[in-house]
Amino acid sequence: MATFLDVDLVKYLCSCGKKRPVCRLYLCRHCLKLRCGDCVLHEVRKLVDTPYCPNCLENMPSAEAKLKKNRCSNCFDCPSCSHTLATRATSQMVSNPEDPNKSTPKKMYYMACGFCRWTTRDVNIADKSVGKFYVSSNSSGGWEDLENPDAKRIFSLLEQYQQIAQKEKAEKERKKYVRRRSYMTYAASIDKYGLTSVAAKRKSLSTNVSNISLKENEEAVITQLKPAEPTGEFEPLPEDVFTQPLLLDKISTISQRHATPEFQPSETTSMYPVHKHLLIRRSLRCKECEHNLCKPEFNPISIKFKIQLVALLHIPEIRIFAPTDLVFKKETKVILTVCNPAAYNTTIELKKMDPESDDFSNSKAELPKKEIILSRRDDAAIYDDGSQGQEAFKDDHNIVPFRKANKIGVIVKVTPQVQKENVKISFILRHDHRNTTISLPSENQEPQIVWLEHKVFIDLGPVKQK
Amino acid sequence: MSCSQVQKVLCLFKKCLYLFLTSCYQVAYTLFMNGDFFLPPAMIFTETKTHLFFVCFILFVLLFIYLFIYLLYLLINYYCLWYYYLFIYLFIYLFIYLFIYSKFSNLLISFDHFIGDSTRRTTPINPDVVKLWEFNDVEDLLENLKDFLFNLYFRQLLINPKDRRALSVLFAAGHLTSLLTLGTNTGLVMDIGYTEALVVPVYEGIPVLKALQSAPLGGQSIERRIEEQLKNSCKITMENGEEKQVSALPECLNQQILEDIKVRCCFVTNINRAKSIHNVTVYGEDSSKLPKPPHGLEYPLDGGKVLHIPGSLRENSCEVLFEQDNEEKSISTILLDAIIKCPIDMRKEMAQSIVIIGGTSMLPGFQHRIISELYDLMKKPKYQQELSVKKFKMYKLPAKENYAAWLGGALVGALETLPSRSITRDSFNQNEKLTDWCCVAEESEAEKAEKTTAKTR
Repeated sequence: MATFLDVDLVKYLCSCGKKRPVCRLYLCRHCLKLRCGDCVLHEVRKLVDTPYCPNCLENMPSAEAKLKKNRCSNCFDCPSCSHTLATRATSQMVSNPEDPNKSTPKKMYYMACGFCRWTTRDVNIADKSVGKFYVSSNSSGGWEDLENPDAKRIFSLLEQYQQIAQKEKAEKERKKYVRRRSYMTYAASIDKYGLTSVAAKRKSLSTNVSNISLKENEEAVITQLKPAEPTGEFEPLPEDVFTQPLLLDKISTISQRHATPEFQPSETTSMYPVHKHLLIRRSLRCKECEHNLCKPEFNPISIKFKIQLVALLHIPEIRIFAPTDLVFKKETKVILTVCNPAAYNTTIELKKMDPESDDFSNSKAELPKKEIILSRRDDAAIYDDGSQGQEAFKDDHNIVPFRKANKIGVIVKVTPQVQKENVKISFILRHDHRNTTISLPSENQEPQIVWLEHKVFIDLGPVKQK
Repeated sequence: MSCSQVQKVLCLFKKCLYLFLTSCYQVAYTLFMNGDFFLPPAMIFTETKTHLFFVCFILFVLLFIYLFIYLLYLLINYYCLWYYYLFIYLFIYLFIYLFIYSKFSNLLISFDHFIGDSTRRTTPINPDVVKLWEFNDVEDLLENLKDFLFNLYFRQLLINPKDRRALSVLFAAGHLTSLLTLGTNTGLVMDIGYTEALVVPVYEGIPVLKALQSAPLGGQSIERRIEEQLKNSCKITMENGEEKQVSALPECLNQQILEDIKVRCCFVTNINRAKSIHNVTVYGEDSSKLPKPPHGLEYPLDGGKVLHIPGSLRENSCEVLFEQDNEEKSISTILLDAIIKCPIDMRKEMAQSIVIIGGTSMLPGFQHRIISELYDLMKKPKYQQELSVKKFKMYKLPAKENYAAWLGGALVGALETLPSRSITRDSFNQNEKLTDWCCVAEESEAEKAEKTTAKTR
C-alpha cells in the first residue's frame, strides 16, 4: 500500500516539470514521456460517455440528464448523512374495499439509510405502494419531489429579463446600422476634447448590468412583471425559544442545509431525500501526440479500461525499504526497493543527476555503478517459494542485498549534509523499455527497445538527533 | 521616482489586482452558498498582547497602502473616487457564462465540496475543503482554480469542457444582482456575511458609492464572541466524568464547531430583552437585572466529551452585531448612515426598500430585530435631526439570503446580451487587464497627458 499511501516520499519528474508520485503519472507510449494529471487533456467523449448513476448504474443521454438536473430519478441520498438510501419493503394490512371486515396484506415501501438509520418515516413521508425502481418521479405512487415555491417567480423574472435583453439586442443592431450611414464621421469630428469617449466608457461601466432592467420605453412588447413588494412586518421570534429547551438533534447542520440549497431546512423534520448526483467517465489524452492515455469502457458497469497507460504499469517503481537512522556527515546505507511491473526483464541503472539542474537534493548519495537486471513480473510467482531462478542474476550483495520475484533491494550510501532539514537525494533512473505498441502485430518484428530516463527525488526523512 | 518606475509599479499593482479578481468570482460564487464572505481580515482591535503584533502589522500595511494610494492619487489627479470602486470590486463578484445554458439546473449543484483531489467522490459532507483563496502564490491559485473548474465540469455539469468554454467573464456587484431577483432596481442592500457587513444603496440600477457603509461585523465576530464566552465561563465534561474549564482545553474548539454552535444554537433575541442585556454587558449594570435566559444545552464534542453551553450564550452571542462600538457603529446604524449619506430625495425610497443578503442574516429572528432596531434608533436625537423617515420596509427575497446574489448573477448569466457586456478572452488578451475604474481614470489621464504634450509642442 505504500505505493498509494506514502506517496510524497519518492517522486518522479513529470515532463511538465512537476514532481509527482509514480502512481499519479502516465506514460505516453507514443512520446515515451511521463505525463501527469495536469499536463494531459481531460475530456468526455461525445455520445459515448454519458452520465450514469453511481448507485443503479443506469446511464442516460446528456440531454435527459440536463433536464433532470444531473440527478438520478430513482436513487436518493440520505439528507442527514448523504449516504445512499435503500428501499425497504414492509407489508401493511389494507382493508378490502369489497369486504370491509377482511383486510389483505399489501406491500409498502419506504426508504432507509443504512448508515445513520434515517428513514423517510422519520419525517412523516407516507410509505409508497411501489418500489422506487419501477417508477418515474412524476407518476402517481412514486416519490414526489419537493417544489420550490419561488421557482415560478424566478422563471417569470427570467422570462422578463430575456425579453428585455432581446429587445436591447435588436436595438443595438439597428443603431449600428443607422450610425454607420450618417453619424460616424460627424461623431468623430465633434469629439474634439475626448469627452464623449470618456463619458461613454464610464457609462458603459456603471450601467454594465443595471441597464438590463432599465428600458422603460418598451412596454409595448415586454410583459411588465410586478416588482416584489417590501413589507414592514416580519415574524418575531416565537416565545418558546426562551422557554423551551433546545433539542440539538432536531436542528440540522450546515452541510445538511447546503445539500438542498433551495430549501435549506433548519429542522431535521423537514429534511427530504436528495436525488443522487450523476457521474460521468472521462478519458485522458496526451496533449502532444493526442493519443489516448486512459480510456474507460463504454459500459458504466465495467471497471475495466480499453487503454490504460498508467506509469505504474510500465516503469520500475522505487520505494524506500525501511526507515534508516541517518547521522549528520556519516555514510549510511539506505535500502531502496525497485519493482519491475513489466512482463520482461528490465535493466536499470542509477545515474547521478547533473548538479546544476538539481535543486532538490541536499546530501551526498553514492549510487551503485553497475547495471542491475530486474526479473520480469510473473503473476504466478507468488505461488513459488521464491528460491528458484534467483541465482541466475549473480548479485553483488554489496549492491543488491535481496531479490524476490520482480523486486530487488538496492543499497545507496547516503551521507547527510544537513542537520535540521529532511535528507533529500535525487538521481536519474535509466531503464530499458520495450515499446510493444507501435509495431503492428502482423509485422511480426522485434519490439523496439528504448532507454528511458526519469529523474527521481527521494525524501529520506530527518537526520537523527543525538 | 521616474515616470517609468511609477508605471512599473502601477503595472505590478494591476497584475496583482487582476489575479485577485480572477480568483474572486469563483470565490464569491462558492461563498454565496457557504454563507460567508471573503474580505481581508476584519480588524478587531483587542487589548491582548497577541493581537498587538497583528495590529501593528495591519497598521503598517495600511500606511503602506495609504502612501501608495496617495501616490496614485497624485499621479492620476483626475477622479479620486476610483478606489471606492476598487473596494466594491474586491468585495463582490459574480460571473456566470458557464451556466448560460443550464440556468437553474445549477441550483442543485452542491457547493461546498468543489475543490481538492478531482478523483474524490462528491459528498455534501467533506471536512477537508481547500478554499480557493487560500493560496501563497500564483501557482497555488492556478492549481485551486483548475481543481475548481475540473470539479464543475466533470462532477457537476458532466460535460466536455470543449463543449462549453468560458468565452467571456462579467464582474457584477452582488448588491446589484440580488436586486434582480426581486424585479426592482432600487434598494438599500446590506450584505452581511462572514467577515463584514457592507451596505450599498442602489438607485435605479446604479450603486450610490458615495453612501457606501461597512462594519467589520458578521459571522466571524459572532464566532469570536462565542469562543470568548466559552473560554471565560464554560465547562467540558470529559469521558471519565471529570469537569474541566474550556480555557484549559483550547484544542477542543475549532472553527467548524464554533460555526455549528452559531448556526444551530444561537438566535437574535428581541429588542426589549436585548436592551436589558446590553445594560448589563456593555454598561455594566448589575447582572440580576438580566432577563431569565433560555435553556442551555449539552453539546457533544469528539470522543465522548460534552460541552455545556449556557442559555445566555445562545442569546447574547449575536448581540455583537447590535452593540455599538467606539464609533457607534452597529449593523443597524450603518443602514441609517447609508440613508443619511444618500441625496435627500432618495432617502424615503431607500428606507422602504431594504434588502438584506448574506448568510449571517439567516439567523432566526434577525429580520424582525433589524426593523425594530431601526425604529428604535430613529428615537435617538442623532438620527431624528437628520432623518425624517417614518416607515421602514424590507423585501422578502425569492431565495435564501445566502445565495440571493448568486441567483441574480445566474439570471444575468442566462441572458443573450451577456457576451456583449462582458470581457471576452480576446479583448483580455489584447489589453492584459480587466477594465475597472482604475483603468478609466488612468486612460483618461493618459489621454490628457498626450493632449498637453501635443499642445506644448
